[in-house]
Amino acid sequence: MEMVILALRGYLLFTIVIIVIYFIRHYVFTLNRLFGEQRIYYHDIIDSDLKTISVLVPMHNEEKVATNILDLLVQSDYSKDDIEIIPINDFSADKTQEILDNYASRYPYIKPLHRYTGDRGKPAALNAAIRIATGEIIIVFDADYLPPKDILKSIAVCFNDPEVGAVMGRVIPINTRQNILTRLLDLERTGGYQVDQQARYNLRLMPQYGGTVGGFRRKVVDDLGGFNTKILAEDTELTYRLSINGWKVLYANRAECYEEVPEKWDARARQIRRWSRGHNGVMFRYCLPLLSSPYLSFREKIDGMLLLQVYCVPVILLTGLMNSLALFFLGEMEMFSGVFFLIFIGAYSNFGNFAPFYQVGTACLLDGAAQRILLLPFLLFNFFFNMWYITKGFVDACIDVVTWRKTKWQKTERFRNGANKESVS
Amino acid sequence: MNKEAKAIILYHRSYRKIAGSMWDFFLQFLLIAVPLSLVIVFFYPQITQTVCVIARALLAPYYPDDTLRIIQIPFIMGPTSILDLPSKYPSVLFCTINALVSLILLVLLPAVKNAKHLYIFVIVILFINFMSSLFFMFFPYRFPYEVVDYSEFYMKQQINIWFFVPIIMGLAILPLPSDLTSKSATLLITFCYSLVFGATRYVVFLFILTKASLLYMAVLFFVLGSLVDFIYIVGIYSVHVTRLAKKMKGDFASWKWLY
Repeated sequence: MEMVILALRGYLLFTIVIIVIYFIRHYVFTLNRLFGEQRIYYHDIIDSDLKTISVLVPMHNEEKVATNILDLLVQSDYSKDDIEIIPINDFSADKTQEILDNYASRYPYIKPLHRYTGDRGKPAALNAAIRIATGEIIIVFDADYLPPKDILKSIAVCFNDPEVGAVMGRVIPINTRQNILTRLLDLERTGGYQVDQQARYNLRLMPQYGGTVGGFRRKVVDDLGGFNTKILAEDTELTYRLSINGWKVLYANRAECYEEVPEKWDARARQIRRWSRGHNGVMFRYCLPLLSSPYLSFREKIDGMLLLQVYCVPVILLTGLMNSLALFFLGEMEMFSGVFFLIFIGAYSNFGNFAPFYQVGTACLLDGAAQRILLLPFLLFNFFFNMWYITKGFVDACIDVVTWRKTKWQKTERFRNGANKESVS
Repeated sequence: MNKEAKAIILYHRSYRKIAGSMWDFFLQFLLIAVPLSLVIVFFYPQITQTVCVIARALLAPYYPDDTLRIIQIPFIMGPTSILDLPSKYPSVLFCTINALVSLILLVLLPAVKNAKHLYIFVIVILFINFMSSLFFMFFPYRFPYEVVDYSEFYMKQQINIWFFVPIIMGLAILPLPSDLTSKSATLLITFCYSLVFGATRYVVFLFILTKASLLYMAVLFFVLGSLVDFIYIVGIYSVHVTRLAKKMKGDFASWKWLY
């Protein structure tokens, strides 16, 4: 029994160490964003000659949103001689194909790709589109995004720097006011982009390419073998694949684009479980390549490792909670008296890749948003919700590794045009 | 060029930062947050004594004479006072009812479509209560604590909370560009609130454990203990930042850009 207690105590100590590391990481980011020198994106060469681009929009049953994004892309100020738009109809069974063909007949630079054979899912769809794309740069938007007029230039401009392999813009929820979930997701996004991503960019660490509102060099990704269709988090994988091969991944805070966040908890649960499964799948594959990469500095490797583990932290916390419960019934309550408060504070503050409260508060302040900050205490409920579904995703990822099973892509439900409003609480 | 118009063009939020410096922050932290924490370090024997006196006065009507005793136990920098009360073990029937109710709710709750974020929180509470019920059903004699143990652990933990509240709030609030008075007031309010809240919760928890039973000790400790503390910490923080955000909207001097 003594050995069991010792092991449980050891695990609790391990949990505390993890929490402290992430606490320091997030706090450094927050201070850097508040006081540090902000590393500007490539705005000063905005008028340079820009490269040819292919805008890819993966779509699976996107009739609710397809016209919105295509209309906005058509209005883009990017030279129409240098752009092609490839909406990828990925096994749609609704009117998506019809909508895309209609746009293609009106705009010669819209070249839809209809896929009804082969693997389904975003990575496979992107691979297929990359093979037919002619632009030097690939820019990707999810179908529910609403790109502003100037965003293509903002994203493409950084590729005049020959070191840049990929870039990520800022994502802002458009349906924030729908309900408490969308408001809380807005808080998480604000903290994650305005502080976390920008600070990582400032500190020359590893900003993350997020798979949408971003771009990458077509040839580089093609040469690296395209996207791995067995991985659900193709964006995270690309970040690491580029970084360990010596390419820089940038973050463009000024390149803002609106998205639709899930309005129902079920949809959010599926989304976050998928992210966890995908991200942890990348973690299993890229820990060693990251550490052994000759192109990354020591601190980039440290940050890269911490970023890789973010979807592991909730699992560690959940098992830490179970561990604490066992210690409690074994008569070890006294050891909590000093540290339990810190565990909770730390756990709540450093949850996954979701920003801690001081980071969200700082981000909202910098954004000039006031009222939404009052919702910060409600993030507590997200804490338990995320912990549960991220742990489920982690288990999925472990099973993927052990069984080599094929992953099945699950699209996030769309809510635009008043759909599903009856179930919004 | 219209210079007046140009003068009021606001910076884009992308690379906005605040006027102020890390050194100011560290100085404020040393002068405001640290002294509040030191108050706990040097005066916790007196503070815990006061809390116990109040708790005993509030609980006295519900217990026979001479069952409520204030005792002192050694702690890091001096003795801490705690309240000693009689323990109440749950009956088998009480444990069974608790286990059954928890189990039924654990089975039914996942069917709830809306407010999943709330029900997962409730599930954590129910799960801990279920485990505790099972423990008391099958191993009541092995439960390692009396109320006086909980009283001691609570007080020690509360001293830690009181110590860390100014530190946590200081780290969160002091870097922000609000005026010093406002920041000091927020820290002081949080600190005082934590003192009052910690004392009130002490009374309520002891009452529950002695009147309802030790069965609820795990739930009180894990879910309604420290967890609740940072809800009010974050709540007060959010009010402070909201007020600041509103104020800064028209206050151009507070902002810097890039460097």
